Amino acid sequence: MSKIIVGRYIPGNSLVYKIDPRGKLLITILFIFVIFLANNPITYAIITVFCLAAVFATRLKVRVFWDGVKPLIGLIFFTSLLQLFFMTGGKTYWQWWIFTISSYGLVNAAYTFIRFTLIILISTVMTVTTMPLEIADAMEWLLKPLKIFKVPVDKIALVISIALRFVPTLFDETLKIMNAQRSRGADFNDGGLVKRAKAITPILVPLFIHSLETAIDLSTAMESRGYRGSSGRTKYRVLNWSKYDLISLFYFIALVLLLLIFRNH
Amino acid sequence: MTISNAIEFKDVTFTYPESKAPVLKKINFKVKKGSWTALIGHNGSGKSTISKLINGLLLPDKDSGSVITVSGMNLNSENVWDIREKVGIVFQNPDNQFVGATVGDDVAFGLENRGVPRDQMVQTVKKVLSDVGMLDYIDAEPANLSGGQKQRVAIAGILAVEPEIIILDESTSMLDPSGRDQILKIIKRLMSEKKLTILSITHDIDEADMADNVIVLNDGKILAQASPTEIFSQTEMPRQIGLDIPFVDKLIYKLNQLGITIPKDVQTKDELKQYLCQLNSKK
Repeated sequence: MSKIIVGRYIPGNSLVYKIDPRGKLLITILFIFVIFLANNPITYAIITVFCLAAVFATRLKVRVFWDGVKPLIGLIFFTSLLQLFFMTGGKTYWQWWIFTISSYGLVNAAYTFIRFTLIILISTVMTVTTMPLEIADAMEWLLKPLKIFKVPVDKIALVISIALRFVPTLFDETLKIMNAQRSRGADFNDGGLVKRAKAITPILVPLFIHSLETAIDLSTAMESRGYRGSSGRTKYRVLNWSKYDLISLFYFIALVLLLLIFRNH
Repeated sequence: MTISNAIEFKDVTFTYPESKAPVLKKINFKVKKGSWTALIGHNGSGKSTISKLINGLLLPDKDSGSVITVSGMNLNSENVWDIREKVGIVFQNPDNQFVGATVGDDVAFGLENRGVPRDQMVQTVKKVLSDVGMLDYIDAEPANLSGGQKQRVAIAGILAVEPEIIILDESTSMLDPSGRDQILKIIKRLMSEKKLTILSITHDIDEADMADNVIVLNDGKILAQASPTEIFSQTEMPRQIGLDIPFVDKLIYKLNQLGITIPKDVQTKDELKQYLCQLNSKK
C-alpha cells in the first residue's frame, strides 16, 4: 500500500484547517493581487506580519514551508539579483560595465524577494492544510458562474474528482510496472539523456494501456450504477461556511485596509 | 400478476461487432426470484457477456428473435435505465469500479445519479455501510483499502439503490480466500434479509456450490441447468468441458475409483464425514 499523500496535504487540526476551502482558495488568489498594493517599507512590514501569522496559525513545522520555498529559491534569487544590478536611480554605490548597485536597486531587490517568498508561503499554507478533494470542490464552486456561458462545470468537477482518485492508483501501478521491468533487467537510472528517455518506453506504454482499460471498466461500472450525464444529479459532499470563515474574512479585510491606509505615507 | 422469474432469456443470440461467430447462441434460461444462481463455464464461454446483456450495457443481435425479460420488463433501448435501477452489478476488479474519492462518496454515487436529496443520502450511506461492516471507513480513500474492503464498498453502493437483482461478475476472483469468504457471507446474509436475487458468474467452484441453481455454459451454449449437487455429481460432464468440481465431490469420485462406493445421498462435507466414520466403525 502506498503512503503517498496527493498534493502535499499534511493532516492537522489547527485553526487554518477549519476554514472552508472555498474561503482559503479565494483569499489565496486575492492575496497575490493584494500583495502589489504594498509599496513602502511599512506596508511590506504589515503584509509580512500578516502572512507569517497565517503560517504560524497552521501550527506546522517550519520545515514544511521551507520545503515549499526551496524548489523556487533559484528563481527568487535570480529575479532579486536582476533588480539589484540593473535598477538605476537614487544614490549609486557601485558601478562596473553594465552592472550598477543603487539605492533603488537595493530596495527593489528586497521588495521582490519578500513578494516572491510571501506568495509561495501563502500558497503553501493553502495546499498543505486543504485536502486535494476539498480544493477540487472549492474550484467547482468558483467555476459555477461559468455555467451562464454553458461551461459544463458539473462534468469538469467529476473529471477532477476521478482524476484525483486515480492519482495514487496510477502511482502504484507505475511502481509495479517499473519493478516488473527491473526484474527483467531494465535500468532506469543509468546512461545519458537519450538512453534514459528510451528506458521510459517500457513504463509508459503499459501504463497508457492500463489507464485506458481502467477508463473503460470505470465507465461501464458508472453506467451500470445509473450515471447518465450530469443533469439531475444531487451532491453528497457539501461545503459549509462556519464562523472560522468570518475570522479569515475579517483578517483579510483588515490586511487590505491597513495596506490602503499606509500606502501613501 | 406475480413475477416468479427475475431474469428470463429466450433464444438470446449475441455477436460482438468485431467477431464473425456469435458469442451466445440461442440461449434460454430462467432465474427464479429470490434464488441464488451460479453461472459457470470456462474462459471465453460468454459468461460476462450475459451480465452485460442483463442490464443493457450490450444489446442482443437484431432480427435474432432474442427476448430478455428482467423483473417483468422486456429489455429494449427505452427501458434500459429502468432495468438498471433493478439490477446492480459488482464487477471483477475492485479498483476499476470505485468512482468516489472516499468510501462515502462512492456509495453515494448511485444515489446522486438518481437525484436523491442529501439528508436521505447521508442516512442511506451510513446504513448500507454498516450492513457490510465498513462504517468505520466512511472517510477512507480507496488507496488505503484492501481489495476485499473495496468489494464490500461496491456491494454497499449497490445496496444503497435497493436493486432486486445483484449480479456478481467474477467479483471474488481477484480476492484472497479470506476476502472471498467474507464477501460471500455478506451476500448470503443480505440475500435472505432483503429478498434479493443473486446471479453469480464465477470460476470458483465453492462459490457455485453455495448456489441454489447452477447453469453451465460452454462455447456460447447452455450445457446444463440444475442444482449444484446434480451438476457436480456427474463427474464426467464438468471434466469434459474443463471445469473443476468441489472438493467433496472430488473426494467421493476418488473413493469410488478406489472401490469404496459412497451412496448417492451423501452430498455435503458433514454427511461424508459421518458416512466415513460409520464405515470405519463397521469394519
